Amino acid sequence: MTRLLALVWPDLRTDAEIASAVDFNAMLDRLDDLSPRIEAVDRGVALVDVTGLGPSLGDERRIAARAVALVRKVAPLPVRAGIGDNRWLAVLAARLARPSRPEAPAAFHAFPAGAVAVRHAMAALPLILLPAEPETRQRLALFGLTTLGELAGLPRSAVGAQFGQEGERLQALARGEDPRPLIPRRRPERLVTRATFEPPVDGVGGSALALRRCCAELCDRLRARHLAPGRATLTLELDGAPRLAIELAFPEPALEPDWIARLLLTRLEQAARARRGAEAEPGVAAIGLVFDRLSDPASRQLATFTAQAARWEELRWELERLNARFGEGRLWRARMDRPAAALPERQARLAEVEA
Amino acid sequence: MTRLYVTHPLIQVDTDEQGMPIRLRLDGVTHGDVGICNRWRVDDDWWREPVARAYFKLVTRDGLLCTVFWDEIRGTWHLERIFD
Repeated sequence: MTRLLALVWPDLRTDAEIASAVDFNAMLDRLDDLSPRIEAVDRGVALVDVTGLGPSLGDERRIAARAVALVRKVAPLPVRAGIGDNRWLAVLAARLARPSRPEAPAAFHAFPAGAVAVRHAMAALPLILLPAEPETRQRLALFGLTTLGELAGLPRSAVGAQFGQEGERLQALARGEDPRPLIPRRRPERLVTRATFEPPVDGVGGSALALRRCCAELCDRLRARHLAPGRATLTLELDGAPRLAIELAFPEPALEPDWIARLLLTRLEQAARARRGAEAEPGVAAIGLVFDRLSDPASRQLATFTAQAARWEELRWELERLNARFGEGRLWRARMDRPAAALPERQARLAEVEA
Repeated sequence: MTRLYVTHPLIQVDTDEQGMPIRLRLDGVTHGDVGICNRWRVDDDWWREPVARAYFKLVTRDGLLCTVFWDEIRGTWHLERIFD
């Protein structure tokens, strides 16, 4: 028996400002800790397959509470949670959920498992809950139908004759039937590698070689699949100090291990310096490197030489990479100062590019 | 794309009796059968450092397309631009 949990964030659905400020994908990423099957139905609506989680997490209210707690780490927004046998019932349960007190951040409602129990639980609910066109709703009212139970109790053939396919669909919903499966979102792929040091190496600089090796290893794995990372996250486990994490998002997919390692190391040294102040540098016990936001690098080749209107950040990134690869004093920018000059060498002048 | 030689390297150019290029030598390679696509003059800066150049846009039998000029003041041939 499938059990689905629907989470509905009313603020995300109605308030554009909040919706733009909150990273909905990050909220869903959090739910990965609960279940591998998650669907983003719409902005502010998510479905989670919670089948079989009972033995490890407790009853359904506890499972919903766990999901809400996970998501609230990203965005502490009011949420309605509902559980049912299928996606329609789960979402309907979330709609029916009412907080126990006005200031409560979450509300929960569940339909019982099993067709008979569901029909019994839904029987008294008003027809207005069905996703029907106003005309259909009006016609249902003309037939004197006001509750889901009344519609569910009619012979299917009679409903089909009167209301067509749409009527049959609505009756199935009124009976708590919904054949649409949950379509799990594709989890973002990530590549992970790790190096441990026994004994710990001295300072951040001591781990540079291992970092380069990790970068090269991940880049080799991606190169074989013609992919490149859009983000690198480096985590340092320090000896006797809290771990240090650096995240580096690339404006475009990058597959240059030395360059990625160098950039990470630079950021890492800055962060380590800012954290320790005058204290001695702690030893590094392990490093972990994650590449994600994988995509095809081919389409971005030679980005320097394509039109870069409003993409100065990308151009600067490209220039910085070229500078790092070929050294200082190799990149020049031509500026047309006197386009009407008779001699070509006087039309433009060259200025060194400082990336 | 073209490559503009701002430093104008010296080149060897053979001319006919009218002073028109018929053969040029670049990087140790001789390009014969030179055709003249275009020609023009530039006279500039006569009041401080005079410039007097006879420009030729040339195409050779082996496909080289370039711009060269005859510096009338120094009496030398120079390469200015090579077209891809």
